[in-house]
Amino acid sequence: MHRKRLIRLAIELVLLVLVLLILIGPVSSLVIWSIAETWYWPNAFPQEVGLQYWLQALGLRTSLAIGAVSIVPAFLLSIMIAVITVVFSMAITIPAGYALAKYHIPLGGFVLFLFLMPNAFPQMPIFVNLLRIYTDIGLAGTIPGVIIAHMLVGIVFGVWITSATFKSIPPSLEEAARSVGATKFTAFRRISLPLAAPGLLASAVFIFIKSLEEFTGTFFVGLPFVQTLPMTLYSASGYNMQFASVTAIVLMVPSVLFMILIQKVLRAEYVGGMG
Amino acid sequence: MSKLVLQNVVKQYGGLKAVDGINLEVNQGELVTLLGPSGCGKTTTLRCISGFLVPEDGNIYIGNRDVTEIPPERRGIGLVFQNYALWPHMTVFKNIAFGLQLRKMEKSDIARRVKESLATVKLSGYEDRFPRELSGGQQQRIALARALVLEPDILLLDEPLSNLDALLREQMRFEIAQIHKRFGITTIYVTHDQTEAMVISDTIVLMNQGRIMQQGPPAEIYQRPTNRFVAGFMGTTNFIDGELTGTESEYVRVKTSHGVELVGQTPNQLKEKNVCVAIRPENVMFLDKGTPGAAENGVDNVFDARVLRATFLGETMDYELQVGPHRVRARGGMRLPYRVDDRVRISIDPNQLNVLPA
Repeated sequence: MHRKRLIRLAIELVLLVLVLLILIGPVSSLVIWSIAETWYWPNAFPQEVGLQYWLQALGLRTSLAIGAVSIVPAFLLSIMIAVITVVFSMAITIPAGYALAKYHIPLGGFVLFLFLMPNAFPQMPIFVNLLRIYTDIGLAGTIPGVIIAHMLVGIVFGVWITSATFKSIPPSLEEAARSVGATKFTAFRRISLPLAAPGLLASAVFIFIKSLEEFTGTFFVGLPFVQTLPMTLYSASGYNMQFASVTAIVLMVPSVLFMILIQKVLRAEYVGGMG
Repeated sequence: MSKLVLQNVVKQYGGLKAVDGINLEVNQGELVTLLGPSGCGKTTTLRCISGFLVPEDGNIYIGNRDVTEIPPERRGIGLVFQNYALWPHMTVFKNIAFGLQLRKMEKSDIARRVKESLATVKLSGYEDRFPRELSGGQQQRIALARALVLEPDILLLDEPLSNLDALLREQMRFEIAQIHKRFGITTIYVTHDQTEAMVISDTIVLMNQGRIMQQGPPAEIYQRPTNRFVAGFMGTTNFIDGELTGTESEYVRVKTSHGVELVGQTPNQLKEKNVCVAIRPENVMFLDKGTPGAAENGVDNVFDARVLRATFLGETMDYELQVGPHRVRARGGMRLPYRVDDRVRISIDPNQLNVLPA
């Protein structure tokens, strides 16, 4: 049926274009804005394009335009906070996930549920209250305060991912290690940990990205001293669209890089790992 | 190589006793199979021996050591799992060498021993493969090699062949039996497959509901069951209830609930009058018209019968016979297959008729 196939192909093409538009559309809009130097309505495309705003954002050129600052310090701060958040979060989620997976903890399901609870509530009330507590104990507007707030967000998902990861490893693998003379810890270190690595890596990357893009909490808890990149984005988006676009694209870069990384690593692991 | 002793081992979960006072002595070099239906406690017992479960009561001795409180890694055991439990992120070589590396053995010694163990399980040259590249049977052999390479005092196998197809299972159990003969390691084997148990065991320990029902060499378990459970679990058995009517020399007389008189032997002292007669189908002999004694009446255990069902099984015929008021299953050869409604004459050797407690 030649015609049927043609119609099928046409529909598939239309769907493909739609998907591409939905996926790429917003990004391409950002890209266009970031290089738009002069753009007046009702033109569909900017009249003048250039890398002005990029250079300003990267601190390579100063400008008197409102809101044009170097985003490099905020970027570095965001990265630093994210890295520290990941390290401390993993220090909690790995043992917690392992314990929840391996041991029959009374009310284990309830504990996991508790971990998920913060996400069930609207973020603003949570962070407003956190700010109140922080102000009392002097953590408001500090970097450690922000890190803790990010950890709260990260551990929620982190524990779910790590416990699911450890649960997927058959207990007989550790038992086999013990039967040939390994202590519980050696069995964990040489058998469970390597096998859990892909899942743990996914957890770490997830926490990293969540921290990087965390806005609401950081806004409440970090002001006025802590300025992360999402906050720069927020400040800029009101009146300086080009600048905001540049910031948004920069913010996307780590996420995209990690996605590619995860894809490569996880695929290799799943083919090579659990067999 | 050591002797294994279990003394009054009890393992319970809440109110349920999974293992209810097990006493077992395994001699050095012996292969003992824990056999029984699901839930009988055989795997729980094995896990107590391996140390992954700590019994509520009782003691376990390996050699002269009381290992009841000692963790698995220090018991000197070798363990083979039903799902092989090979480490997927390590090569075959690393899987087998792992235990030796933990003992800080010399690299050259390790390499030599791994090579030898691979040769034992007939998988030489597979050092660099990964478990996912191996078939089920091969993985199981690597698991066996991994356990053997450490020269353990006790070798424990937990239904190692259950995940393999029938043909492979048959092949592997002969190999396991051969390896056991060669190395002579004291071995505990858990399975629910009675044929497997009979092929490889020196001693079968038949368990039910956490207790040992009978233990002994395969032939003894099969031919001389001491209770109804054992008679019913092994092979096929006809059960007929009745009452003890008398004893003469080494035999006993029984009158069935329908009045038929039988003569048989009993493996244990019968304390009560109510008994159960166990007859295996293959022990129901068909008397051809020409056989001496066929036409005589009054000979013990000779009866007229009518064929109710005749089923072709390939090697044999499986019959259901009406013998007076009783229905009895029998086996017959292919030389003279009977058909439904045929009249036959059967005889049962009193030595093969087991009289058991009801």
